[in-house]
Amino acid sequence: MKKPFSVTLGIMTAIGGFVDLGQIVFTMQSGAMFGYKLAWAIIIGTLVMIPYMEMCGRIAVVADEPVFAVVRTCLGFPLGVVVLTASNLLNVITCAAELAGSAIILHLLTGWPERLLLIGVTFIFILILAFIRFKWIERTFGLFGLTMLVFAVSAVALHPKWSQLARGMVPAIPKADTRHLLLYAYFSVGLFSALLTEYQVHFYSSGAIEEHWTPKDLGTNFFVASVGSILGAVLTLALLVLGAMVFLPRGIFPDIVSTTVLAGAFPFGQNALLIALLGTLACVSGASIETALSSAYNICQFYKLPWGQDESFKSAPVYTMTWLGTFVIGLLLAMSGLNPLQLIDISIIFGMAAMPWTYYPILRIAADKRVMGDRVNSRLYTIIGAVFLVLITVAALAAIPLLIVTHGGQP
Amino acid sequence: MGTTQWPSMASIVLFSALVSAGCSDKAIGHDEARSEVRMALSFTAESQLFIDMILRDHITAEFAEGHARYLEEEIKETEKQLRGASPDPFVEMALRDCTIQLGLLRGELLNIPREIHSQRALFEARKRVTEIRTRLANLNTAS
Repeated sequence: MKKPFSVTLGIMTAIGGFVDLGQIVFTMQSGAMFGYKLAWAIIIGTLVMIPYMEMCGRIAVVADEPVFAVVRTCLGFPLGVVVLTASNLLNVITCAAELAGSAIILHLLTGWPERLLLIGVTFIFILILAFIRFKWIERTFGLFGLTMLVFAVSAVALHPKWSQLARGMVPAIPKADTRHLLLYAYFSVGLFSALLTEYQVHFYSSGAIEEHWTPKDLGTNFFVASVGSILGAVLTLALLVLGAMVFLPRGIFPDIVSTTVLAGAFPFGQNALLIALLGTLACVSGASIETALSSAYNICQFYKLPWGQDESFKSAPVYTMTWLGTFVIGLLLAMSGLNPLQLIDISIIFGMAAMPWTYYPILRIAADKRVMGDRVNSRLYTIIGAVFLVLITVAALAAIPLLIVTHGGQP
Repeated sequence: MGTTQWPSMASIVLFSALVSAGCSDKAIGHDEARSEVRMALSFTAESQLFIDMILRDHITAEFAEGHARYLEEEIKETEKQLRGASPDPFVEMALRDCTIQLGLLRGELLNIPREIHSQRALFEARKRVTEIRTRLANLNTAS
């Protein structure tokens, strides 16, 4: 029974990491602006994600070292602290945006006051993390997240042009003026980056340790990393198709969450709208929990303090106070009235800039025979990982300049 | 201590600079004006889609009320930015018209949740939104 349930870790990681609030809106905006032309960024992002997710799961199992312990080992303390600070700052910003997103979705479902829902949903997430064991959190949100498949069903029901979508999976530079080329580059980098959010690898590697995986589970690790990432990619492609089919012909640039949910239910009736709202709620609430936990994992793993959902407050006080603090600061930021989508767009692009520092240590340790023994990367696997790391670095260097010159991707 | 504090400060300063870059009074030239009119056109198209989906009974009353408010707030934000902007003289008139049309669109959106059960009122609202869109499209061509 362990294997079928283990896949929920991959699903929750992918649903909360691949398809969070920012990804939903960003991907639909990409479809609304460029049709299927940016599908290749999703394919490449997924191809990069699978081996890196597999490597961080393997390191967790073989070396019993989660990602942030690896970051400290590889980068040393001073640079490690920089990466830790940047990662946790991004986690807090993302958590704030996801909490605000959860309140928006609940408001659209119930009509209740949004501020009350924001406080209520944060309180519920705190109770979940305080009282529910990791495996049940992961299974509940993993399975709940499958309601997001309504977006894929809607995309297929609209009869997309499959040949055009297939052509979009091959990278190409469109013939356009400089402004549109810059926007194309901005959305390519953003889509690629949103698939590779740091918090999902932190969450996944910590989850493998929380789940007490052993070297016997390495096959499961590869399966879970692949299935989770492919599911995330399918959903992201579905969002792109919906953007291309619902918004592009009408000249809509979707800039609010509720507009994107409408696309998920476009070919169907009210029941589909309710399922689309629930699916989106699963994603954004999963992402809130992942980011809060990720902050706590990062600090405790970096400073070698006790951590884990199965630990009591007394045995892991820093762990508990960190995830609690992330929720509280996130709530205050969300209550301050900052636009959650503006916050998350910035966190995606800043996340890209910090990304090489997360992925490089994973590759280095996974290729180190002294640490990994006979579970070390093959030479080919390391070469593929290194090529992908170059891609991540190029995108990281381009991210912030593109954010500035395109005014945050304004059409 | 110094080692642990500088990255967070640098990140916060850079983050604030980027956020405020998008929020301060901005100079609007020809390209920016076209971009603003395109956003306004997008808002009208979103409103048309919204009304169409209510007419097809695809939207719950709670969703309609929430979506109308979010869309209206987004338009209000754009209007605020346009009012605080410093446009080039040759696009000033177009942007003033654009702001007026956005105000009219907001008015329509505020009424939609009340008209959700009246097909006739919704058809009328859709017609008016189409007229706003036509006027904005003319501005887009002219700007």
